[in-house]
Amino acid sequence: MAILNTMSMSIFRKYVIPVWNALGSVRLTILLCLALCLDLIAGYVCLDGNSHIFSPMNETGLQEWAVTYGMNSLPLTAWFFILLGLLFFLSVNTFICTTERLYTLFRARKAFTRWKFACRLAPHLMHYAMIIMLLGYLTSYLFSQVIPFVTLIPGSSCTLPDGSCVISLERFEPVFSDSDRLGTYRNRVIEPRAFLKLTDGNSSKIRMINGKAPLRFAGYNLFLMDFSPKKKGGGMSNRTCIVLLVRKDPGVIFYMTGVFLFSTGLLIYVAQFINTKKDNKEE
Amino acid sequence: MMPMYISSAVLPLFLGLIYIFFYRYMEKPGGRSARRFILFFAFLISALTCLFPKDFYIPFLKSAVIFSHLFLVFGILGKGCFLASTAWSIGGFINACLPQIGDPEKCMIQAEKPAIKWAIGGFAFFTVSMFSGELWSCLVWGTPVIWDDPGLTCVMAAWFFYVGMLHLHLTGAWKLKARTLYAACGGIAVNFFNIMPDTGPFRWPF
Repeated sequence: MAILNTMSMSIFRKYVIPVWNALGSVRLTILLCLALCLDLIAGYVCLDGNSHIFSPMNETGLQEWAVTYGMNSLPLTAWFFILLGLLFFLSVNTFICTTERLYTLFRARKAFTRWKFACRLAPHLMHYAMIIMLLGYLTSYLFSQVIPFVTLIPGSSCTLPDGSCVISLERFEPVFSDSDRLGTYRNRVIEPRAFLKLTDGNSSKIRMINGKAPLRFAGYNLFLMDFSPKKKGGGMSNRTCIVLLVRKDPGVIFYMTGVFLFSTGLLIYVAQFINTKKDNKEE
Repeated sequence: MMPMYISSAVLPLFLGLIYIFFYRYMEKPGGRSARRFILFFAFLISALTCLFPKDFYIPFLKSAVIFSHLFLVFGILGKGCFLASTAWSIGGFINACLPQIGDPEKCMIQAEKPAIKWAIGGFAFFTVSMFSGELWSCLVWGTPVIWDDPGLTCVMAAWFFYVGMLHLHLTGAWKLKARTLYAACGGIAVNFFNIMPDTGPFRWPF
Protein backbone atom coordinates (compact mmCIF):
# COMPACT_ATOMS: atom_id res chain seq x y z
CA MET A 1 0.00 0.00 0.00
CA ALA A 2 2.81 2.41 0.91
CA ILE A 3 4.69 1.36 -2.24
CA LEU A 4 1.55 2.03 -4.28
CA ASN A 5 1.26 5.44 -2.64
CA THR A 6 4.92 6.18 -3.38
CA MET A 7 4.50 5.03 -7.00
CA SER A 8 1.36 7.16 -7.38
CA MET A 9 3.17 10.18 -5.98
CA SER A 10 6.12 9.75 -8.34
CA ILE A 11 3.78 9.28 -11.34
CA PHE A 12 1.88 12.31 -10.14
CA ARG A 13 5.08 14.36 -9.86
CA LYS A 14 6.50 13.05 -13.14
CA TYR A 15 3.46 13.45 -15.38
CA VAL A 16 0.54 15.31 -13.86
CA ILE A 17 2.36 18.29 -12.37
CA PRO A 18 4.35 19.17 -15.53
CA VAL A 19 1.19 18.91 -17.65
CA TRP A 20 -0.69 21.03 -15.10
CA ASN A 21 2.09 23.65 -15.13
CA ALA A 22 2.29 23.66 -18.94
CA LEU A 23 -1.46 24.04 -19.32
CA GLY A 24 -1.48 26.92 -16.84
CA SER A 25 1.50 28.77 -18.34
CA VAL A 26 1.18 32.45 -19.27
CA ARG A 27 3.24 31.86 -22.41
CA LEU A 28 0.52 29.45 -23.53
CA THR A 29 -2.08 32.17 -22.83
CA ILE A 30 -0.26 34.60 -25.11
CA LEU A 31 0.17 31.99 -27.86
CA LEU A 32 -3.50 31.06 -27.62
CA CYS A 33 -4.56 34.73 -27.81
CA LEU A 34 -2.40 35.21 -30.90
CA ALA A 35 -3.77 32.02 -32.47
CA LEU A 36 -7.34 33.15 -31.71
CA CYS A 37 -6.63 36.52 -33.29
CA LEU A 38 -5.30 34.93 -36.49
CA ASP A 39 -8.13 32.38 -36.62
CA LEU A 40 -10.78 35.09 -36.20
CA ILE A 41 -9.24 37.17 -38.98
CA ALA A 42 -9.37 34.06 -41.19
CA GLY A 43 -12.96 33.74 -40.01
CA TYR A 44 -13.71 37.26 -41.25
CA VAL A 45 -12.42 36.36 -44.71
CA CYS A 46 -14.49 33.14 -44.76
CA LEU A 47 -17.63 34.73 -43.29
CA ASP A 48 -17.66 37.75 -45.63
CA GLY A 49 -20.15 36.97 -48.38
CA ASN A 50 -20.91 33.54 -46.90
CA SER A 51 -23.04 34.44 -43.90
CA HIS A 52 -25.82 32.20 -45.30
CA ILE A 53 -23.70 29.22 -44.16
CA PHE A 54 -23.32 30.51 -40.59
CA SER A 55 -26.61 32.28 -39.84
CA PRO A 56 -28.63 29.02 -39.51
CA MET A 57 -26.57 28.34 -36.37
CA ASN A 58 -28.67 31.00 -34.62
CA GLU A 59 -31.73 28.77 -35.00
CA THR A 60 -30.53 25.18 -35.28
CA GLY A 61 -27.90 25.20 -32.56
CA LEU A 62 -24.29 24.04 -32.73
CA GLN A 63 -24.69 20.24 -33.04
CA GLU A 64 -27.12 20.27 -35.95
CA TRP A 65 -25.25 23.06 -37.70
CA ALA A 66 -21.91 21.24 -37.34
CA VAL A 67 -23.13 18.00 -38.96
CA THR A 68 -24.95 19.81 -41.79
CA TYR A 69 -23.57 23.18 -42.88
CA GLY A 70 -20.33 22.78 -40.95
CA MET A 71 -19.23 19.46 -42.46
CA ASN A 72 -20.52 20.22 -45.95
CA SER A 73 -18.67 23.53 -46.29
CA LEU A 74 -15.47 22.63 -44.45
CA PRO A 75 -13.12 24.99 -46.37
CA LEU A 76 -15.31 27.89 -45.16
CA THR A 77 -16.16 26.58 -41.70
CA ALA A 78 -12.89 24.98 -40.57
CA TRP A 79 -11.89 28.21 -38.81
CA PHE A 80 -14.97 27.89 -36.58
CA PHE A 81 -14.07 24.38 -35.41
CA ILE A 82 -10.51 25.57 -34.74
CA LEU A 83 -12.02 28.49 -32.80
CA LEU A 84 -13.95 26.08 -30.56
CA GLY A 85 -10.77 24.09 -29.87
CA LEU A 86 -8.73 27.21 -29.07
CA LEU A 87 -11.46 28.55 -26.77
CA PHE A 88 -11.52 25.21 -24.95
CA PHE A 89 -7.76 25.32 -24.37
CA LEU A 90 -7.94 28.97 -23.37
CA SER A 91 -10.62 28.14 -20.78
CA VAL A 92 -8.51 25.30 -19.33
CA ASN A 93 -5.41 27.51 -19.32
CA THR A 94 -7.28 30.41 -17.70
CA PHE A 95 -8.82 28.17 -15.05
CA ILE A 96 -5.54 26.55 -14.04
CA CYS A 97 -3.53 29.80 -14.06
CA THR A 98 -6.18 31.77 -12.17
CA THR A 99 -6.85 29.04 -9.59
CA GLU A 100 -3.14 28.77 -8.73
CA ARG A 101 -2.76 32.52 -8.31
CA LEU A 102 -6.00 32.80 -6.37
CA TYR A 103 -4.82 30.07 -3.98
CA THR A 104 -1.60 32.03 -3.34
CA LEU A 105 -3.57 35.27 -2.92
CA PHE A 106 -6.00 33.78 -0.39
CA ARG A 107 -3.15 32.33 1.63
CA ALA A 108 -1.61 35.81 1.87
CA ARG A 109 -4.89 37.79 2.23
CA LYS A 110 -4.08 39.02 5.77
CA ALA A 111 -1.17 41.05 4.39
CA PHE A 112 -3.54 43.33 2.40
CA THR A 113 -6.16 45.92 3.26
CA ARG A 114 -9.68 45.32 1.92
CA TRP A 115 -9.23 47.68 -1.04
CA LYS A 116 -5.81 46.26 -1.95
CA PHE A 117 -7.21 42.74 -1.70
CA ALA A 118 -10.13 43.71 -3.97
CA CYS A 119 -7.64 45.20 -6.47
CA ARG A 120 -5.62 41.99 -6.47
CA LEU A 121 -8.79 39.93 -6.81
CA ALA A 122 -10.13 41.98 -9.76
CA PRO A 123 -8.07 40.35 -12.57
CA HIS A 124 -8.98 36.87 -11.26
CA LEU A 125 -12.65 37.85 -11.19
CA MET A 126 -12.34 38.88 -14.85
CA HIS A 127 -10.69 35.57 -15.73
CA TYR A 128 -13.36 33.43 -14.07
CA ALA A 129 -16.05 35.66 -15.59
CA MET A 130 -14.65 34.95 -19.05
CA ILE A 131 -14.90 31.20 -18.42
CA ILE A 132 -18.50 31.61 -17.21
CA MET A 133 -19.35 33.62 -20.36
CA LEU A 134 -17.84 30.98 -22.65
CA LEU A 135 -19.79 28.33 -20.74
CA GLY A 136 -22.92 30.41 -21.29
CA TYR A 137 -22.33 30.60 -25.05
CA LEU A 138 -21.75 26.83 -25.23
CA THR A 139 -24.88 26.09 -23.19
CA SER A 140 -26.85 28.44 -25.38
CA TYR A 141 -25.69 26.87 -28.63
CA LEU A 142 -26.11 23.30 -27.38
CA PHE A 143 -29.33 23.42 -25.35
CA SER A 144 -31.45 26.30 -26.65
CA GLN A 145 -34.93 25.57 -27.90
CA VAL A 146 -35.72 27.81 -30.86
CA ILE A 147 -38.90 28.09 -32.89
CA PRO A 148 -38.09 30.46 -35.76
CA PHE A 149 -40.54 32.16 -38.12
CA VAL A 150 -43.77 31.93 -36.12
CA THR A 151 -46.05 33.90 -38.46
CA LEU A 152 -49.25 35.29 -36.99
CA ILE A 153 -52.09 37.22 -38.59
CA PRO A 154 -54.81 38.88 -36.45
CA GLY A 155 -56.88 36.11 -34.88
CA SER A 156 -54.43 33.29 -35.60
CA SER A 157 -52.55 31.53 -32.82
CA CYS A 158 -49.55 29.35 -32.12
CA THR A 159 -49.20 26.72 -29.38
CA LEU A 160 -45.87 26.47 -27.61
CA PRO A 161 -44.09 23.07 -27.36
CA ASP A 162 -45.27 22.44 -23.80
CA GLY A 163 -48.84 22.21 -25.17
CA SER A 164 -50.68 24.42 -22.71
CA CYS A 165 -49.50 27.91 -23.69
CA VAL A 166 -50.94 29.71 -26.69
CA ILE A 167 -49.90 32.96 -28.35
CA SER A 168 -52.26 34.83 -30.63
CA LEU A 169 -52.12 38.19 -32.35
CA GLU A 170 -54.85 40.54 -31.12
CA ARG A 171 -53.97 43.58 -33.17
CA PHE A 172 -51.03 45.36 -34.81
CA GLU A 173 -50.87 49.12 -34.17
CA PRO A 174 -47.60 50.50 -35.55
CA VAL A 175 -46.48 54.08 -35.11
CA PHE A 176 -45.73 55.77 -38.44
CA SER A 177 -43.17 58.51 -38.91
CA ASP A 178 -44.68 61.86 -39.88
CA SER A 179 -41.58 64.05 -39.60
CA ASP A 180 -39.06 64.92 -42.28
CA ARG A 181 -36.05 64.42 -40.02
CA LEU A 182 -35.47 61.00 -41.52
CA GLY A 183 -36.90 61.56 -44.99
CA THR A 184 -36.58 57.93 -45.97
CA TYR A 185 -38.82 56.96 -43.08
CA ARG A 186 -41.72 59.34 -43.89
CA ASN A 187 -44.98 57.36 -43.64
CA ARG A 188 -43.01 54.25 -42.72
CA VAL A 189 -43.29 52.32 -39.47
CA ILE A 190 -40.97 53.85 -36.90
CA GLU A 191 -42.14 51.64 -34.03
CA PRO A 192 -43.95 48.33 -34.63
CA ARG A 193 -46.39 47.58 -31.81
CA ALA A 194 -48.04 44.18 -31.78
CA PHE A 195 -50.51 43.24 -29.05
CA LEU A 196 -50.34 39.54 -28.22
CA LYS A 197 -52.82 37.52 -26.23
CA LEU A 198 -50.88 35.10 -24.03
CA THR A 199 -53.00 32.21 -22.75
CA ASP A 200 -51.60 29.93 -20.09
CA GLY A 201 -54.16 27.27 -19.14
CA ASN A 202 -57.12 29.23 -17.72
CA SER A 203 -55.56 32.69 -17.48
CA SER A 204 -54.82 35.03 -20.34
CA LYS A 205 -53.27 38.48 -20.63
CA ILE A 206 -52.54 40.96 -23.41
CA ARG A 207 -49.01 42.25 -23.76
CA MET A 208 -47.32 44.52 -26.28
CA ILE A 209 -44.14 43.60 -28.17
CA ASN A 210 -42.21 46.18 -30.20
CA GLY A 211 -39.00 44.55 -31.41
CA LYS A 212 -36.75 46.41 -28.95
CA ALA A 213 -37.07 43.96 -26.09
CA PRO A 214 -38.31 40.39 -25.70
CA LEU A 215 -41.62 39.37 -24.17
CA ARG A 216 -41.25 36.68 -21.54
CA PHE A 217 -43.97 34.04 -21.40
CA ALA A 218 -44.06 30.55 -19.82
CA GLY A 219 -40.25 30.37 -19.69
CA TYR A 220 -39.93 31.36 -23.36
CA ASN A 221 -38.71 34.67 -24.79
CA LEU A 222 -40.63 36.07 -27.74
CA PHE A 223 -38.86 38.36 -30.22
CA LEU A 224 -40.52 40.40 -32.95
CA MET A 225 -38.43 39.69 -36.06
CA ASP A 226 -40.55 41.07 -38.87
CA PHE A 227 -43.93 42.64 -39.58
CA SER A 228 -46.21 43.87 -42.33
CA PRO A 229 -47.26 46.43 -43.49
CA LYS A 230 -44.11 48.53 -43.29
CA LYS A 231 -45.63 51.76 -44.55
CA LYS A 232 -48.96 53.64 -44.51
CA GLY A 233 -51.27 52.30 -47.15
CA GLY A 234 -49.45 48.99 -47.16
CA GLY A 235 -47.24 49.47 -50.18
CA MET A 236 -46.88 46.24 -52.12
CA SER A 237 -48.59 44.21 -49.42
CA ASN A 238 -51.20 45.62 -47.02
CA ARG A 239 -51.76 42.26 -45.27
CA THR A 240 -51.20 42.57 -41.52
CA CYS A 241 -48.91 39.95 -40.06
CA ILE A 242 -46.00 39.58 -37.68
CA VAL A 243 -43.14 37.10 -37.52
CA LEU A 244 -41.96 36.01 -34.09
CA LEU A 245 -38.94 34.07 -32.88
CA VAL A 246 -39.64 31.95 -29.82
CA ARG A 247 -36.61 31.01 -27.78
CA LYS A 248 -35.85 29.16 -24.57
CA ASP A 249 -32.20 29.73 -23.71
CA PRO A 250 -30.60 28.27 -20.56
CA GLY A 251 -27.29 29.98 -21.37
CA VAL A 252 -28.55 33.54 -20.81
CA ILE A 253 -28.10 33.42 -17.04
CA PHE A 254 -24.47 32.31 -17.45
CA TYR A 255 -23.34 34.97 -19.84
CA MET A 256 -25.24 37.75 -18.07
CA THR A 257 -23.53 36.69 -14.83
CA GLY A 258 -20.21 36.60 -16.68
CA VAL A 259 -20.77 40.07 -18.13
CA PHE A 260 -21.64 41.46 -14.69
CA LEU A 261 -18.61 39.88 -12.97
CA PHE A 262 -16.23 40.91 -15.77
CA SER A 263 -17.52 44.49 -15.68
CA THR A 264 -17.11 44.60 -11.89
CA GLY A 265 -13.54 43.30 -12.12
CA LEU A 266 -12.73 45.73 -14.94
CA LEU A 267 -14.14 48.67 -12.96
CA ILE A 268 -12.01 47.82 -9.91
CA TYR A 269 -8.92 47.32 -12.11
CA VAL A 270 -9.37 50.67 -13.91
CA ALA A 271 -10.06 52.45 -10.60
CA GLN A 272 -6.86 50.99 -9.17
CA PHE A 273 -4.95 52.05 -12.31
CA ILE A 274 -6.23 55.64 -12.00
CA ASN A 275 -5.45 55.72 -8.25
CA THR A 276 -1.90 54.48 -8.86
CA LYS A 277 -1.43 57.19 -11.50
CA LYS A 278 -2.66 59.85 -9.02
CA ASP A 279 -0.34 58.55 -6.29
CA ASN A 280 2.61 58.65 -8.70
CA LYS A 281 1.77 62.26 -9.66
CA GLU A 282 1.60 63.33 -6.00
CA GLU A 283 4.97 61.75 -5.32
CA MET B 1 -31.73 55.02 -34.16
CA MET B 2 -28.05 54.28 -34.60
CA PRO B 3 -26.35 55.67 -37.73
CA MET B 4 -24.86 52.76 -39.61
CA TYR B 5 -21.15 52.36 -40.40
CA ILE B 6 -20.30 55.83 -39.11
CA SER B 7 -17.46 54.74 -36.85
CA SER B 8 -14.78 55.09 -39.55
CA ALA B 9 -16.00 58.64 -40.21
CA VAL B 10 -15.91 59.67 -36.52
CA LEU B 11 -12.65 57.90 -35.66
CA PRO B 12 -10.41 60.55 -37.33
CA LEU B 13 -12.22 63.18 -35.24
CA PHE B 14 -11.39 61.30 -32.05
CA LEU B 15 -7.76 60.86 -33.14
CA GLY B 16 -7.61 64.61 -33.77
CA LEU B 17 -8.93 65.26 -30.25
CA ILE B 18 -6.28 62.91 -28.82
CA TYR B 19 -3.63 64.85 -30.75
CA ILE B 20 -4.88 68.20 -29.42
CA PHE B 21 -5.53 67.28 -25.79
CA PHE B 22 -2.52 65.03 -25.25
CA TYR B 23 -0.02 67.06 -27.30
CA ARG B 24 2.02 68.19 -24.30
CA TYR B 25 2.24 64.64 -22.93
CA MET B 26 3.89 63.56 -26.18
CA GLU B 27 7.03 65.63 -25.73
CA LYS B 28 9.00 62.62 -24.46
CA PRO B 29 11.27 60.62 -26.80
CA GLY B 30 9.09 58.56 -29.11
CA GLY B 31 6.26 61.04 -28.54
CA ARG B 32 6.99 63.07 -31.69
CA SER B 33 6.89 59.93 -33.82
CA ALA B 34 3.69 58.88 -32.02
CA ARG B 35 2.10 62.28 -32.80
CA ARG B 36 2.99 61.94 -36.47
CA PHE B 37 1.52 58.45 -36.61
CA ILE B 38 -1.70 59.57 -34.92
CA LEU B 39 -2.10 62.26 -37.60
CA PHE B 40 -1.19 59.75 -40.28
CA PHE B 41 -3.83 57.28 -39.02
CA ALA B 42 -6.45 60.06 -38.91
CA PHE B 43 -5.62 61.03 -42.52
CA LEU B 44 -5.55 57.40 -43.70
CA ILE B 45 -8.91 56.54 -42.14
CA SER B 46 -10.48 59.73 -43.57
CA ALA B 47 -9.16 58.80 -47.02
CA LEU B 48 -10.46 55.23 -46.68
CA THR B 49 -13.89 56.52 -45.65
CA CYS B 50 -14.01 58.90 -48.65
CA LEU B 51 -12.76 56.44 -51.24
CA PHE B 52 -14.34 53.24 -49.89
CA PRO B 53 -17.70 54.33 -48.50
CA LYS B 54 -20.25 51.87 -47.25
CA ASP B 55 -23.59 52.82 -48.75
CA PHE B 56 -25.86 51.62 -45.98
CA TYR B 57 -26.20 54.80 -43.98
CA ILE B 58 -29.93 54.27 -43.39
CA PRO B 59 -30.50 53.25 -39.80
CA PHE B 60 -32.69 50.26 -39.06
CA LEU B 61 -35.48 49.97 -36.50
CA LYS B 62 -33.78 47.39 -34.30
CA SER B 63 -31.03 49.91 -33.53
CA ALA B 64 -33.45 52.12 -31.53
CA VAL B 65 -32.09 50.66 -28.29
CA ILE B 66 -29.69 52.47 -25.92
CA PHE B 67 -27.19 49.59 -26.04
CA SER B 68 -26.69 49.98 -29.78
CA HIS B 69 -25.59 53.59 -29.26
CA LEU B 70 -23.28 52.61 -26.39
CA PHE B 71 -21.84 49.91 -28.66
CA LEU B 72 -21.05 52.54 -31.33
CA VAL B 73 -19.68 55.25 -29.04
CA PHE B 74 -17.50 53.03 -26.85
CA GLY B 75 -16.32 51.14 -29.94
CA ILE B 76 -15.04 54.41 -31.45
CA LEU B 77 -13.32 55.38 -28.19
CA GLY B 78 -11.75 51.92 -27.92
CA LYS B 79 -10.47 51.89 -31.51
CA GLY B 80 -9.05 55.40 -31.09
CA CYS B 81 -7.16 54.39 -27.94
CA PHE B 82 -5.85 51.25 -29.67
CA LEU B 83 -4.57 53.36 -32.57
CA ALA B 84 -2.88 55.74 -30.12
CA SER B 85 -1.23 52.74 -28.44
CA THR B 86 -0.08 51.45 -31.84
CA ALA B 87 1.28 54.92 -32.70
CA TRP B 88 3.38 54.94 -29.51
CA SER B 89 4.68 51.41 -30.17
CA ILE B 90 5.65 52.26 -33.76
CA GLY B 91 7.29 55.49 -32.54
CA GLY B 92 9.32 53.59 -29.96
CA PHE B 93 10.33 50.88 -32.44
CA ILE B 94 11.42 53.37 -35.11
CA ASN B 95 13.42 55.40 -32.57
CA ALA B 96 15.08 52.20 -31.37
CA CYS B 97 16.15 51.46 -34.97
CA LEU B 98 17.70 54.94 -35.39
CA PRO B 99 21.03 54.92 -33.45
CA GLN B 100 21.33 58.73 -33.48
CA ILE B 101 18.21 59.05 -31.27
CA GLY B 102 19.68 57.24 -28.31
CA ASP B 103 19.86 53.90 -26.54
CA PRO B 104 17.42 51.54 -28.36
CA GLU B 105 16.30 49.81 -25.17
CA LYS B 106 15.63 53.12 -23.42
CA CYS B 107 13.59 54.32 -26.44
CA MET B 108 11.45 51.18 -26.35
CA ILE B 109 10.92 51.33 -22.57
CA GLN B 110 9.90 55.00 -22.76
CA ALA B 111 7.42 54.24 -25.54
CA GLU B 112 6.07 51.08 -23.89
CA LYS B 113 4.57 52.84 -20.83
CA PRO B 114 2.26 55.23 -22.73
CA ALA B 115 1.47 52.47 -25.24
CA ILE B 116 0.26 50.20 -22.44
CA LYS B 117 -1.74 53.01 -20.80
CA TRP B 118 -3.54 53.67 -24.09
CA ALA B 119 -4.03 49.91 -24.58
CA ILE B 120 -5.60 49.57 -21.09
CA GLY B 121 -7.94 52.51 -21.78
CA GLY B 122 -8.79 51.08 -25.20
CA PHE B 123 -9.38 47.63 -23.73
CA ALA B 124 -11.79 49.02 -21.11
CA PHE B 125 -13.78 51.02 -23.71
CA PHE B 126 -13.72 48.15 -26.22
CA THR B 127 -14.94 45.65 -23.61
CA VAL B 128 -17.84 47.96 -22.66
CA SER B 129 -18.60 48.28 -26.40
CA MET B 130 -18.56 44.49 -26.87
CA PHE B 131 -20.79 43.89 -23.86
CA SER B 132 -23.20 46.62 -25.00
CA GLY B 133 -23.31 44.97 -28.43
CA GLU B 134 -24.03 41.59 -26.84
CA LEU B 135 -26.80 43.02 -24.66
CA TRP B 136 -28.30 44.76 -27.71
CA SER B 137 -28.15 41.51 -29.68
CA CYS B 138 -29.71 39.55 -26.77
CA LEU B 139 -32.59 42.00 -26.41
CA VAL B 140 -33.40 42.24 -30.10
CA TRP B 141 -32.32 38.98 -31.75
CA GLY B 142 -32.32 36.66 -28.73
CA THR B 143 -28.66 35.63 -28.91
CA PRO B 144 -25.46 37.55 -28.03
CA VAL B 145 -23.72 36.57 -31.28
CA ILE B 146 -25.39 36.93 -34.69
CA TRP B 147 -23.40 35.23 -37.40
CA ASP B 148 -24.82 37.42 -40.18
CA ASP B 149 -22.22 40.15 -39.63
CA PRO B 150 -18.60 39.20 -40.44
CA GLY B 151 -17.32 42.33 -38.66
CA LEU B 152 -18.00 40.58 -35.36
CA THR B 153 -14.99 38.30 -35.85
CA CYS B 154 -12.71 41.33 -36.27
CA VAL B 155 -14.02 42.80 -33.01
CA MET B 156 -13.23 39.54 -31.21
CA ALA B 157 -9.81 39.34 -32.91
CA ALA B 158 -8.91 42.85 -31.68
CA TRP B 159 -10.09 41.98 -28.18
CA PHE B 160 -7.95 38.80 -27.98
CA PHE B 161 -4.97 40.64 -29.49
CA TYR B 162 -5.03 43.26 -26.74
CA VAL B 163 -5.66 40.61 -24.06
CA GLY B 164 -2.41 39.04 -25.27
CA MET B 165 -0.65 42.42 -25.25
CA LEU B 166 -1.70 43.19 -21.68
CA HIS B 167 -0.58 39.74 -20.51
CA LEU B 168 2.76 40.25 -22.31
CA HIS B 169 3.31 43.54 -20.54
CA LEU B 170 2.16 42.43 -17.09
CA THR B 171 4.19 39.21 -17.09
CA GLY B 172 7.18 40.31 -19.22
CA ALA B 173 6.99 36.92 -20.93
CA TRP B 174 8.79 38.02 -24.11
CA LYS B 175 11.84 40.26 -24.61
CA LEU B 176 11.29 44.01 -24.91
CA LYS B 177 11.97 44.14 -28.68
CA ALA B 178 9.54 41.26 -29.34
CA ARG B 179 6.87 42.96 -27.21
CA THR B 180 7.31 46.29 -29.03
CA LEU B 181 7.14 44.51 -32.41
CA TYR B 182 3.99 42.65 -31.30
CA ALA B 183 2.35 45.93 -30.28
CA ALA B 184 3.47 47.83 -33.40
CA CYS B 185 2.94 45.34 -36.25
CA GLY B 186 0.08 43.49 -34.64
CA GLY B 187 -1.61 46.77 -33.81
CA ILE B 188 -1.51 47.89 -37.45
CA ALA B 189 -2.93 44.58 -38.71
CA VAL B 190 -5.64 44.23 -36.09
CA ASN B 191 -6.80 47.83 -36.30
CA PHE B 192 -6.87 47.61 -40.10
CA PHE B 193 -9.18 44.59 -39.89
CA ASN B 194 -11.26 46.37 -37.28
CA ILE B 195 -11.89 49.33 -39.59
CA MET B 196 -12.34 47.31 -42.80
CA PRO B 197 -15.91 46.09 -42.10
CA ASP B 198 -17.02 49.75 -42.06
CA THR B 199 -15.71 50.29 -45.59
CA GLY B 200 -17.23 49.30 -48.91
CA PRO B 201 -16.09 49.06 -52.54
CA PHE B 202 -13.96 51.74 -54.20
CA ARG B 203 -16.01 54.79 -55.32
CA TRP B 204 -14.43 57.88 -56.82
CA PRO B 205 -16.11 60.75 -54.94
CA PHE B 206 -15.96 63.35 -57.74
